[in-house]
Amino acid sequence: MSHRRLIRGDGLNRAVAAAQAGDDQAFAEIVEKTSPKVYALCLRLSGNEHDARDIMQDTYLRAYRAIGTFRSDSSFSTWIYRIAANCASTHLQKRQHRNERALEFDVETLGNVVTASPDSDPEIASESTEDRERLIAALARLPFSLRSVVVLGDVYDLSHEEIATELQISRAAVKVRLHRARKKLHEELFATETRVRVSTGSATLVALSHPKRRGAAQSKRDKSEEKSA
Amino acid sequence: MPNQRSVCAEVVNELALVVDKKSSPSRLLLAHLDQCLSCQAELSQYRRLLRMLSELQNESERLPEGMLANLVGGITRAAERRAIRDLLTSRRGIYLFSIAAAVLIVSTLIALFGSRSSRLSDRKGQPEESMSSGC
Repeated sequence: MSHRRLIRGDGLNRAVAAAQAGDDQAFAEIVEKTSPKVYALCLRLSGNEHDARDIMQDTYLRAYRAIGTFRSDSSFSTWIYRIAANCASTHLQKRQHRNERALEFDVETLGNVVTASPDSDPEIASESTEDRERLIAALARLPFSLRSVVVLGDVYDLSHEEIATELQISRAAVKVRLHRARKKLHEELFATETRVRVSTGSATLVALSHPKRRGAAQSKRDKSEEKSA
Repeated sequence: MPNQRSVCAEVVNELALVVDKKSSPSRLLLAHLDQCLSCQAELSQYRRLLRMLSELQNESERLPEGMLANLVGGITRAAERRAIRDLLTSRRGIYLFSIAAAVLIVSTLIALFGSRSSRLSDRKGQPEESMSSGC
């Protein structure tokens, strides 16, 4: 089953249908409903608020002009994400052509996101928050060519074909970039674990090498001791 | 025959692609995974990575102040431009444009004709005046 579970709701479907019939007020409603998630994508792709603002403006203007071409048998979120990806690619290419340096990746802004379903267990929640921050930082260090592919493919679940179309690259290039991006992220996130495992061959030390896991393993041991007592 | 380490290196390299189930792993890879704990651990790390990436999809971002108003304002301006363009290209627009053009042409002709006739009457009046002044 696909895990596209992004921007949903009957309200949105109604607004899309009305906007397709020419209701501009309905399109404003679409902007209101979808913009927080589209903005998160724009930030992930561009890495800073300044570029993300421009990409958002382009995305919604293009969506407004093309709303008549949207077919309701596909997901509206995928449709708007594809437009955002295309706008981001165009925007950053233009910046390169003007020989402007890309703005610094603003990890602080990227970290300021709202998680829809926070973990109820505080320990697990803090572990996942730390993992998430490390992931965000690792994504930030990727060049746009790799970051865009992994964000669109592995975060927003776009197919290789959709990514190739929107970024104007071949499907083979998508595959190669996705492979490279995942390997780099894997290296950044799990390097310590892998090194310890290779040098010792011990599964226990894998857990011990990760500070958070060490804490989790310790608390697990404590709980089992409490039970046995 | 390749040693265990080089096989593991090949398998680990392939894991980054086959982990998402969009590409199918080879039988050799599956057979190796079945008996290699180290590669199994790598696979579980890649699965965790994909899970973490997928969880980012649930996140939304607070819009900076004024952004929503700017977006809606941009759409409103685009809507106005489209309305004007639609009016100019629609049949009703063409009628209105034709009527306006006709009115403009007629009024220009009237103005031209009016100024010409007044010039003629001026010329007709001048000799009489000069003759009468000469006497």
